[in-house]
Amino acid sequence: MKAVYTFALMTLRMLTRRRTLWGILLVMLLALAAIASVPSFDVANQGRFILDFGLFGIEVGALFLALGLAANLYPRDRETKTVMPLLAVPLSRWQYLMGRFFGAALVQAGALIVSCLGLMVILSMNGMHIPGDLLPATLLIVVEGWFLLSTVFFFSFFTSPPLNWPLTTMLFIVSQMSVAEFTGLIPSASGLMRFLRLLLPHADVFHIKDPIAHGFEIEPVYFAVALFYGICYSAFMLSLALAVFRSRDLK
Amino acid sequence: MRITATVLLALLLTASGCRIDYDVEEVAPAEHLESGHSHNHSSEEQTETLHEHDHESGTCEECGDHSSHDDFDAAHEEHYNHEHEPYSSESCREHDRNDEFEALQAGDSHDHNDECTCEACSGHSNGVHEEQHEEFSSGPSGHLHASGDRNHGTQWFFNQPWAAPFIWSKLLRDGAIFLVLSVVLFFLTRRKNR
Repeated sequence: MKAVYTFALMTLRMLTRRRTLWGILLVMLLALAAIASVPSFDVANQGRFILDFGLFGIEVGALFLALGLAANLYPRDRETKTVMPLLAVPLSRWQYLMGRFFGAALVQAGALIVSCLGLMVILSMNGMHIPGDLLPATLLIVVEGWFLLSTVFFFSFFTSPPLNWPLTTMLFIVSQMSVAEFTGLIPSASGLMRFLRLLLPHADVFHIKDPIAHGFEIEPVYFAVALFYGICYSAFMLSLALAVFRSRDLK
Repeated sequence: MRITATVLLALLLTASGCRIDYDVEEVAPAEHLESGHSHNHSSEEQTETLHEHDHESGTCEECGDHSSHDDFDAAHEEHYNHEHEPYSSESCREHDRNDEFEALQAGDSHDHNDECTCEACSGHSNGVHEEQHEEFSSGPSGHLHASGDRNHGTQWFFNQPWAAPFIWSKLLRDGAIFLVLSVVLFFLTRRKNR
């Protein structure tokens, strides 16, 4: 595990030196500020709109962060032949994948928490109440971001970065659909569609922006269940990615 | 190891409970869904849970059953039959929405006083705030729901996983299955040489 830890720190340092991270983070904060500056036209409870759209913005930011950080990690390593000496001696393939994943996951989590703090500042500057569940809600979005990150890694082992973006975005959209909506895409093959949906994640598990915006209490056990579900699904995607990576001939 | 993994996979595939996906609405127990269209309109809830009614035919558009809405109909009838004074009949919006009331407007006598500011009487500054009157002050659609309750307009809200504890066990089930699958995949694809 020490090899994974060291490689994760190397990845973290490498990613924080890239402009991609800071660019996406800046865009996210600007988007949050823009949401708050939309005039309320005297509509009551403007804070609900800021919270709702703010958390949605953070979620979309998680998608862009996953793509921006990880879509070209492996392709670049392979193009520059960095992966060859890494895999020749110090690291096995699963250690390489886990090191890259944990490094990117830490950077992504940090950026999302900074966005959450930005949202809190915007709410307080507008004199609005900051709900207690805002940070746990962001934590669930962080877990959703890890799932997206593992998906990006999975696609990056057999597609180019330009193809990785639409594929991951498509999976992100499809995973938001309910079983009925997904089956309705091809009603003639409902059995097949239900089976495919079984393999796809239920991303709505990570969405609690609606109850937070409307002042509903979330039971703490739900956070634990959702965290467990998200981490397990991320592990599944990573194992799929590892299976693809192990089958690749790097010569 | 591969044999163990294969047995595990086979068990997962053969167990019917592991092959069933779910929507909250599909697996929701009756008590979770029935509040979406309450048939228990108590007299106190009448103003809060009224939904679209076809008062011409006396049936409910949603359920087709009017037997459980007798209380509402009685209140409605009572409202139709209240007395109006001639001077305010021409601007009562509530009555403008109901053709049946035009016949009453000709010879009615109004009890409206000068304190009413409800939407139903916004055309003039008088009116009586009786319970029946408030039933019609909820807007053009003619019904009002209590905030925070499940109804036909908010069922999407309450069909989310955080509001449906009965699927949390299924989430745990899915999580456990994906965890097992990831471990199986990890060992199945392991190579002897790096």
